[in-house]
Amino acid sequence: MASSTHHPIAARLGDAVKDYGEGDTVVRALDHVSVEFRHGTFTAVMGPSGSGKSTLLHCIAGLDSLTAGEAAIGGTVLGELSDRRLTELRRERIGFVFQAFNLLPTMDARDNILLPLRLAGAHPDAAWMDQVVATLGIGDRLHHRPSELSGGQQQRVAVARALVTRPDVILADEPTGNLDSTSGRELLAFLQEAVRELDQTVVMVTHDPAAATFAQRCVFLADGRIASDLEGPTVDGVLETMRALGEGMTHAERSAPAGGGR
Amino acid sequence: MLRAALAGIRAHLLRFAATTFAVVIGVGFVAGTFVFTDTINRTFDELFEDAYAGVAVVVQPERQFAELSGGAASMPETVLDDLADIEGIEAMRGSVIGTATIIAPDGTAVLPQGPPTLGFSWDGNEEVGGFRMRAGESPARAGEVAVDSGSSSRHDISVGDEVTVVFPDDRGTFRVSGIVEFGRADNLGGATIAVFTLPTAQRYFGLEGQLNAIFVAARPGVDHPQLREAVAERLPDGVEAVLGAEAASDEAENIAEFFGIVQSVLLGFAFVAMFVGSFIIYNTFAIVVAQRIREFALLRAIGATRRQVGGAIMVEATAVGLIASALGIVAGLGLAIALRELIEAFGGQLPQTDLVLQQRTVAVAFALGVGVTVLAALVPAIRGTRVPPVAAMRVDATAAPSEQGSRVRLWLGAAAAAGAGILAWLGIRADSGLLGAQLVGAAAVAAILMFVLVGPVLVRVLVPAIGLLLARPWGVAGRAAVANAIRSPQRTVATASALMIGVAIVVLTVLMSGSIDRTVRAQLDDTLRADLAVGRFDGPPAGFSTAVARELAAVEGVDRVASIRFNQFRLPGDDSIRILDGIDPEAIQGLFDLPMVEGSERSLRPGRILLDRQVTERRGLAIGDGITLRFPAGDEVEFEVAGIYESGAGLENYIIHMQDYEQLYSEQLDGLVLASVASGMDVDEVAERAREVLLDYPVVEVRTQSELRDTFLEQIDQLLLLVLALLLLSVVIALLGIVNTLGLSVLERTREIGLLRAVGATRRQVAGSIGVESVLVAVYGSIIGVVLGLAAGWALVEALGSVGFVGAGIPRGVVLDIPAGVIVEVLVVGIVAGVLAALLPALRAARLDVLRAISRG
Repeated sequence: MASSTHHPIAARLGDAVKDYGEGDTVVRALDHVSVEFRHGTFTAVMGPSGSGKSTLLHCIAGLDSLTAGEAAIGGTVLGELSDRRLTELRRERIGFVFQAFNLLPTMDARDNILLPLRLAGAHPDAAWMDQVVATLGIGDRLHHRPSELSGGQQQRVAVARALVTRPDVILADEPTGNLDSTSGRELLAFLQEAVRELDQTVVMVTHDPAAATFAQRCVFLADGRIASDLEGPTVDGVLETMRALGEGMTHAERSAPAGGGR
Repeated sequence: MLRAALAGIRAHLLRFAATTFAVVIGVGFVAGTFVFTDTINRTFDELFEDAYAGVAVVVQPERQFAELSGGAASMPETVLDDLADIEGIEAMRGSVIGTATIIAPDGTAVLPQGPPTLGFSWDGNEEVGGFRMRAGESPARAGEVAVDSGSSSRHDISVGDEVTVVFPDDRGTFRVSGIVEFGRADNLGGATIAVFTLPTAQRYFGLEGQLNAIFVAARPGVDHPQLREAVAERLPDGVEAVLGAEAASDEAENIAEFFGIVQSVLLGFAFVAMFVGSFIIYNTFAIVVAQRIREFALLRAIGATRRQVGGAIMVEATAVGLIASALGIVAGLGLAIALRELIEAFGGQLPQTDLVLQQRTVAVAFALGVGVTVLAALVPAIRGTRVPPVAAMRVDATAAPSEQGSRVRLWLGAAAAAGAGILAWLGIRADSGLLGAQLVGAAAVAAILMFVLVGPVLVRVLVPAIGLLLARPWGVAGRAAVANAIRSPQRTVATASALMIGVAIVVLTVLMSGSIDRTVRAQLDDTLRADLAVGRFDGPPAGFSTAVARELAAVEGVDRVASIRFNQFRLPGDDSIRILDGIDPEAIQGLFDLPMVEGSERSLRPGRILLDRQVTERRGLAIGDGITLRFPAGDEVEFEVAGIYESGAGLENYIIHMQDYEQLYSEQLDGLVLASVASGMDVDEVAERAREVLLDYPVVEVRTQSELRDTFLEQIDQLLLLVLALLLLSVVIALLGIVNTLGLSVLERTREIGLLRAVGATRRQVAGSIGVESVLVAVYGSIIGVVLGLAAGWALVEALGSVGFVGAGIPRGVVLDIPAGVIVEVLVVGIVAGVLAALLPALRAARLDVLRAISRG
C-alpha cells in the first residue's frame, strides 16, 4: 500500500478505536483504524470535519489515549508508557507543528527551536541546527521574538523546532491554516524539502486539497474510518475522492464547515 | 451593562477570592477595632450605671485627674455629719479605696496583668455603691473580707477560707465572709476587689477619720440636681459634689481609656493591611482586565461606549468591595470576640455583654472597603476603556497592555526618589523627635512610590540577576520562569510591592528594636550601679508597698537602699498626662548615676526639679528657671530647674525630690527599689536572703543588676514579638497576592503551558517553572523590602539619634544595629514563601490537560 515499503515504519496505528463520552452519548472518533507511516515519507491526512483526522494525530502523538487498539512510534507502543515516558517520547521522537500559537512569546526564535533539547537537558548538534535553519531560511531571524516575525516565519520556526531533535515523525496539524496562500505554499515546500533533503517523516492533517498535493500520499478519513489512500495525490484526484466520499456522507456532515476540528 | 458586570464577577469568582480576602482583612481589623472599643465602652458604661444606680450624688475631694494606681485624695469623716440633716437624703455611705492585694490560701498572689488590685469599704447595702453579694455575707467584723468572684473562681477562694491581704503599709489575715460582684461583672474591668468594713479599711489604708468618697442616695421623688446643690452648699473647700450619673460615666471613661492604646495599635495594623491589600486589588483587576480585552473589545464592537465598559469594571469593583466589606464586618465581630478572649487570657476579665455594632462602624467599614477597592480598580478600568473594538479580532489579544508611558514613569520615579531623599535629609536634621519621625515616614512613603514607579525597569535588571542564582539549576524551566517574571513587569512589581511593604516594615521594626535594645543596654551600663533591684516586673509599671524598702534595708548584707516613685502630672494648658519620678538624691548616690548634662543631682532639693535635656531644649529652660507642674489634687506648683540630664532606661523626663512627692500625692507607692550589697558580701547570697524576706510581698520580685538589665530588654522584645505577629499578617496578605497573580497567570498562559507540555516538558518542569517564577517575585519583593526597611531604619536612627523620641520609647543616642541574621532569615522566608505561594498555581499548571490547553483559544 505504501510506495517505500523498504523503509522502516516511523509511526503506526493498529486497529485503533477512540470513543468520546459514555453510554448513549458515546461518539466514535476512530473506528478500527489501522495505518502505517513509513520513515522518509510525507503523508497528508484529509477528511471532512468530524472525520477523526485530528484525533488520529493526537493519538499517534500520545496526547490522547486510545479506547482500544494500539499506537506506536517506531517500535514503541504508547499505551504502555507512563505520563513521564510519554512526555520524554514526545520530546525526543515527535515533532509538532500546530495551526497557530506554536511559539513561546517570551523566547526568541533560536530558544524556541532549542526548547525540546533544553527540556531534555541535551546539547544541540550544531551542524544539524545550521542545516535545519539554512533549509528553512530563517538564519537571519534567530534572535527575533515571535511577535517580531510574520506568520509564515513563525510557522517555519515551529518546523525548525520540530526538526531539531531529528524525531521519528513530525506531526503537523493544519500548519498552513492561518497563513496566506503564498506563505502556505512556501511552508509546504519546506516540509517537502525536510522529507527529501533531511530524510524526515511528516504526517500532516489538512483540509486544503492544494496542500495535500505537496505530500507523497494522502489518507482520507470519514466517520472515523480510512475511506481512501491515494499515492501521489493531485488536486483533481483529491477533489474527486472527496466528491466520492461526499456522496456517501449525510446531509448534516456535508453542511458542516470545513476546517480544523478538535 | 450591570448584567455584564455581574456576569463578569460570576465567571471570575475565583480570581476575586484573593482580592476579597485582602479587603476582608483590612476591613475586619477596622471594624473589629471599633466593635471592640465600642463594646468595652458600652460594657463599662453599663457596669457603672448599674453600680451607681442608687447613687444620686457623690461627694469627693476635688480632683483634676487620677493618680497612677487609683490612689485617691481624702476628706475628713466629719463631712458626713455636715450633711446629716439635709432633707431628701435617704441614705449615705462613706467609703475608702486603696491598694489591697489578695494572697490566695495556696500562697499565690492574685495579680492581674495590668489592672490594679483594689480594696474598698462597704456596709453591705446593695443599693448604694455597686457591690452585690454572690455568695456568703458582706464583711461585718474587723477580721472579715469579701473578694470578687473573678479572683474567687481563678484562685479557688471560697467562703470561710483564710486569706492574707497586703496593703501599701500593712498586711493582715482575714476570713472570707463572702464573694462579691461589681455591677453584673465578676470584677472591675480586671482589677481585683477586696471589700472590708469601713473601720477596717480605714485602718489598713492609714485613713483613720478620713473618707475618699461619700455616696448619697435620694428619697423617692427628690430631684437629683437640686439635692446636689443642697449637698454642695455644706461642703468644705476642696470637696465637691457630683451627680451619680456623671460620676458613673467619669469612672467608665477612666477605665475605658486604658483600652484606647489597643485601638490605636489595631487601627495601625488595619491601615497597613489595607495598604498592602490595595496592591493586590489593583493587580487582580489589572490582570482580569488584560485577560478580558477581547471581551471588552467585543462589547465595544457591538456598540458599548467607553464609559459603559469602564462602568462595568467599576460596578464589578463596587460589588467586590461591598461583599468583602460585609464579610469584613463579620470578621471584625470575630476579631472583637478574639480580643476579648485574649484580654481575659491575660487576666483582665470583662463582663460579658453583646457586641456593639454601631452604624458608624458599618459606615466606616463599607466606605473603606468599597473605597479602597474602587480606587485600586480605577487604573485598570481606564485601561479597559482604551481597548479598541478591533482588538476583538486579534488572535493575540490576551497579551498584556503595552508598557505605555514608561518614560513618564521613570521621570516620576526619579522625582519620588528625590522627594524621598530630601524628606529623609530634613528628617535627619529635624530637632524634634516627632517631626523627624514624621518626615522619615513621609520619605518612606515616597520611597515606596519610587520603587513602584521604577519597578518595571528594576524588575528587568534584578530578576534576571536573581535568576542567575536561583533559576540556573532548573535549566530551561528556570529560564522560562525568568522570562515570565519579567514579561509584564508592572504586574510583577505590583505583586512584589505588597510583599516589599510587609518585609520593609518587619525589617524596620526589628532594626529599631535591635537599636533600642543596644542603646538601652549601653545606657544601663553607664547608669545602673545597684546590685539589687526590687519591683513589679510582671506587667506594666505599677507601685508597691513602701514596706518592701524597709524590709529590704534590714536584710543582712544589704548596704544602702533607695526608692524611686513615679506618678502622673500635667503641664498647665496641656491635657496630656506626663509621668515624673520622685527620688531622694542622697539615697540614690552610688545606686543610679543620673546622666547629668548640666548641674548635679545633689543640687535637687525640695522645690527644685531635674529635667531631661529634651524638655529644657523644647521649652527653652536653663538652670535657675522656673517650671510649673499641675498635680492630681489640682494644685499648681512651680519648681526651680536644678539640673539637666539625659533620660534613658528607667528614668522619666521630670524628677522631683521625694519630700515634694510625698506631699503632692496621696498614695505613696514605690515604683522601684534599688539596693547595694555591702562590700565583701556575695550578691547572689544577699539576693537569696532578700527573696526569702520578701516572700510576704508576692507582688514584687528581687533582681540582680544583670537580671534587671535583662528585664528592661525583655519588655522591648515582648513588644517586638507582638508587633511582628501582627505585621506577619500583612506578609500573609502579600503572599496571597502572589498566589492570586500566579494563578491568574497560569490561566492566561494555558496555551503556552500546553505547548510546553506538547513539545516535551514534564509536569515537574512545568510546575518547577511556576515555582521558580514565584520565588523570583518573592525574593525580588523581599530584597527591595529589606533595602527599604534598612534605609528607613537608618534614616530614623539618624533622625532620632541626637534628639531621641521618648514618646515612642526611643532613647536619645540610639545606635544603629543592623539585624544581619534577620535579613538572611527574611530572604530565606521569602524563598520558602515563594515556594508555598506557587504550590496551588503550579499544581494547576502541571495538571493541565495538554490537548485541551493547546486547542483552547
